[in-house]
Amino acid sequence: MDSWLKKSPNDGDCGAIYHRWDEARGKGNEGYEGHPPRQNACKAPGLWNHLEIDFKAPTFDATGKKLTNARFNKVVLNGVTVHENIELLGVTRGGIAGEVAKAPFRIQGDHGQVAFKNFIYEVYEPSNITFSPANYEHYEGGVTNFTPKQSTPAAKGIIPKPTAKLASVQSGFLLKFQGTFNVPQTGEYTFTSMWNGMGALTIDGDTLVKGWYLQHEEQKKSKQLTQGEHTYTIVYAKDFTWRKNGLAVFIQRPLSEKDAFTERTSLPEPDPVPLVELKTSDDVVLQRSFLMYGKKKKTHVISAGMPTGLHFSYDLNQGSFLQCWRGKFLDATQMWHDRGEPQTADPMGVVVKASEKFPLAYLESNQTIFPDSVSKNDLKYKGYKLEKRWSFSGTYNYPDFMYEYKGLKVRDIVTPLDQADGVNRHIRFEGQSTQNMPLYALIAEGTDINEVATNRYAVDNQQYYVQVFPTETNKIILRESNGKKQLLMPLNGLKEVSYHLIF
Amino acid sequence: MKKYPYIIFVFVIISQLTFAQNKPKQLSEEDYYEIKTLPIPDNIKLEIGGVATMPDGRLGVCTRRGEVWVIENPYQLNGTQPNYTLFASGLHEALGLAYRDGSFYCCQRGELTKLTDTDADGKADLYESVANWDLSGNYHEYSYGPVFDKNGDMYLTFNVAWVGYGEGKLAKWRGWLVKIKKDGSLEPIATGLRSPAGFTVNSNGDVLYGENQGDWVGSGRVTHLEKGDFAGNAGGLWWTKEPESPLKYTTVKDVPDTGEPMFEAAKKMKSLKLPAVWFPHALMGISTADMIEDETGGKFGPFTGQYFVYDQGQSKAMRMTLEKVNGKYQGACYPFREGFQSGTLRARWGNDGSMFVGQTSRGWGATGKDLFGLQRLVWNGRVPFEMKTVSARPDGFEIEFTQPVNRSTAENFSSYELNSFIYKYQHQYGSPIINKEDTPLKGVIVSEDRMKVRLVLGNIRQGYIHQVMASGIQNDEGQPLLHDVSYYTLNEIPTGDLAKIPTRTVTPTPTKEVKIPAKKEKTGAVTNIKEGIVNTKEVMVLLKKHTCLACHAENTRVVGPSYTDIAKRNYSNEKILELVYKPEPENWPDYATEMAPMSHVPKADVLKIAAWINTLGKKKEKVDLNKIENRD
Repeated sequence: MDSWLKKSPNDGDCGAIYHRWDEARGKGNEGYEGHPPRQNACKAPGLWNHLEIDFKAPTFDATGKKLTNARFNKVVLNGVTVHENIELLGVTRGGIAGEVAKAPFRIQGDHGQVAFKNFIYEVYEPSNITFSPANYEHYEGGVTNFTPKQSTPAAKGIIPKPTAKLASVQSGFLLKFQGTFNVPQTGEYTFTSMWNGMGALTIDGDTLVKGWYLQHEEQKKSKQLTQGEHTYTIVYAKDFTWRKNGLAVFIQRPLSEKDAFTERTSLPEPDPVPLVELKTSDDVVLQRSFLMYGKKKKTHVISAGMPTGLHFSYDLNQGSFLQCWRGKFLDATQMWHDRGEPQTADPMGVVVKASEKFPLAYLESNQTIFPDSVSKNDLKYKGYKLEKRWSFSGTYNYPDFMYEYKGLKVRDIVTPLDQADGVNRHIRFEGQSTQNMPLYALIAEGTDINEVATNRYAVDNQQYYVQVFPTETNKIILRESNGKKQLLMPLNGLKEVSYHLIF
Repeated sequence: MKKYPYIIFVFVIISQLTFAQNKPKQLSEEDYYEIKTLPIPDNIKLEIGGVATMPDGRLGVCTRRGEVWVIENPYQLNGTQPNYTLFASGLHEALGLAYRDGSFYCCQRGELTKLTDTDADGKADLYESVANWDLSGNYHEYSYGPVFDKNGDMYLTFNVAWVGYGEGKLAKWRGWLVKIKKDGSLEPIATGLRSPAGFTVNSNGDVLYGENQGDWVGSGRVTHLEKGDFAGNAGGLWWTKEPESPLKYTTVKDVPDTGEPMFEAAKKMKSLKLPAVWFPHALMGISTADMIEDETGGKFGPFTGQYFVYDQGQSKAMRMTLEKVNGKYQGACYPFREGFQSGTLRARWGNDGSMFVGQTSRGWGATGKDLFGLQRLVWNGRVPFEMKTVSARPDGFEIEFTQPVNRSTAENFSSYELNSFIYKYQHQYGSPIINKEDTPLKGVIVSEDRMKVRLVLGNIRQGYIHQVMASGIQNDEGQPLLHDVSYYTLNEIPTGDLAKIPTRTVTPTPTKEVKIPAKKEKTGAVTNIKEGIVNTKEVMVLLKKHTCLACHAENTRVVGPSYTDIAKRNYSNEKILELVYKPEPENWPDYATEMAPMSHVPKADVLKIAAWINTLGKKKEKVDLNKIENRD
């Protein structure tokens, strides 16, 4: 569906779980139980949308009676989670059959032109692994290096599944579980273990994992197993109090569901951390923070949330337009919850990454490499001025970022386009340059750049468009530099340059 | 029958009068200094990082969420409401604010920003970068200021990063005091700063800064910083390699990391600057914050020229006096006012001589339970009976009081408790109290006007913190001191005439009026446990005496965990002793403030406390079956 720019998407829009359909409900009420996406994450026509679906099919017994509902575990559209753990009570409208355990995967394209590419799918079968009840021994009163101080267990017996809950203290205990499990087919199996403290996992006498770990330090080990019965031993011991008891061991065959040796409640729940959301308001909202840009932590970033629902992040150190997004504004949890140790803020919508480079440079020729960064001596950040600027949606205070660059006074201004289909970046410069070389602007950079219409380019595998405004004397240069495509504009004789970024 | 009520009524009045004559009312801090709470609109998270008063009676505050609010009517004259206007927003953890010539100056994590309203709509529209500096992205690289000096230059202080220890080299000038000149250029002044949340330029133009206990810092303290000083934390030394550094190239290897007292280390390292005043950990505060000189000319009470030093973790104000001995600042600290609503980070004078106190505790534990707050401390005109100043003499100390003392209580030797101690200088976090010794009283001289008492002591030790406690002293009304203790940092012993101790005319036996408090132990509630008999009242006295209650309470989380929560860990009494002497902060990852080693507390006392803690555990040692059987 082309739901681009739609403010309130419904259950028939891009990213929605389509409704069910029943004519018996009466005219106008046939559709029911649909789910609109949490927010509109659809990109402009002609750009690629990226959709990731984690779906669990319904299950049925031998008589065909439904045991469990179908469920969308997670649906992510263009990096935005639009659904999580939603059960479908029945088949959605347009499904090709009634509800069945396994059916073809269907794509439908009857609402205008649509293109699909790069399907990647994995089908997970039920694991069909069975587990015997476990024999357990429980030691208390201290433990050093997998050896309990007391040589006889405080308790022993049989339980359905191993669990850390058997320990009644936080420290100084050791639990040992032994049992068998039956795998339905020969193949390579992956064992994943998580625990707070010391643990060991042994399969058929072969110790796969042994050591001191914290819960998040997941250990993965693989082992070839033949069809049939196998034995396991899990030892879990803890000699400190400052983390909760927690133990989990999983087994998984490629392309089958993950199964747990251990009881679900054996791992503690994560601490509840509330979302701290910075919302847009009736004027432009600005917020400085640290920002993760790829793997880099940028420390002097400002993000602007605009009432039109378009937002951007800007690196004040380098005068670079880092990224732009549409949707909700900013997740400030990592900055404003508790001490906020990461001090980062994250965009909450569909992000397109632009550039971390200052857009102006003096180059010897149009073949010279555009610099990656500019030193503080050459580029001085002077602050920003809030200026009232008119756009279709109203008059708001937009920041003019101010720089001194090699003798030039630069103002960098970003405003939304009239239909909120993108932003206009407007760079003004004045003053006497200290350089004798010509000035260029870097407008876009990516793995590929293709002109899709007059003065309109699709950038970086059709992630976004840029619209440029060349003149008779200042023509756009599309060039390759350092293995990347770049759009450059010579600025001889100009006092400003503008381009649109549309997505 | 009708007459009886009258008779009873009269009897009650007489008995109360009698009572009042014998035993004066116990006076407390709020009888002299009132804390007035400013109401904050429900939707504002006023996590205050900076406070700036404005000449027109309004007040600016900046917050950790990056907002600057201008508050009209903050003095709430005639009980009226203050009014909040958002002046600026979007700043990055703004921890300092100043107002000058119509603009605010605000310190963000990576920038000093000048905020100006150029179109007169009450909101800043010009956010100028006066200066900006590198950051590594480590959360602990907090930046504070600005504080203006008389020339209009501004001082800032830069925390070191925290990577398991204080590290300065991740970004330039971390761990430094710097000056930002009017043209925006940055001049490094001094290093050795760890967590310098509060500092001031005093009326002499000297920079004083407060430090938080941590690595290389045995206890909270205030240090006078001059160009080229090294205040103790090694993190910032990395940048002495820069040509602009006022210190010659120094590395951590040049720092005497021996665990001996700092004054000993300073003999081996010339640039190492001793603090003017130590604020003994937990005995005074636990996390030194803002400080402010009393320049109110008496509007705030009898302490003109002295300093008020705040403690973020204990939500309180302390008092500090300084004198110059052999050309260097040194002096004493005293308790002053407790009971603020949140973590007291920032303080600035109001135009009426009251003090605005900006507060926040998110992620930084504080005794005051609120997440944030704004209060005003107001003197109500009554003079409390206090030790106004304690100053050094060649043979002891002189205490000046705010009111005449009762001569017999002042001349009584048992009115005083005097000793001295110090902390280790080491790269480890914090320090226990070490080398504690008594300073025996040899003589007391009370001045003619009974406003001053000179104490002649034995065993005064240069470099040590001297406790001067005078709990037995009373004024003419029979009231004890509002606060009976001070700690004097004796870096230098002044020269001069020794006191002539008069032949003693007063017998050392306490007079009838003198009662030394807390010496008599009553039998309290007794709990039987297998480790022995635990006397709750006795333990309470110990907890108070050893300042445990500064951070812990029986049932509620304060700065540290409650005793009930500690009991749940099922430590043995011996293990508790071990942990009190050598805390393992990693055991309590949810708590912001690390516990300091308390190895100066006698073993027997800790074991009594430990046994009591474990009685709390015994009450609820019950396995929760629901939890064990909780299944999907």
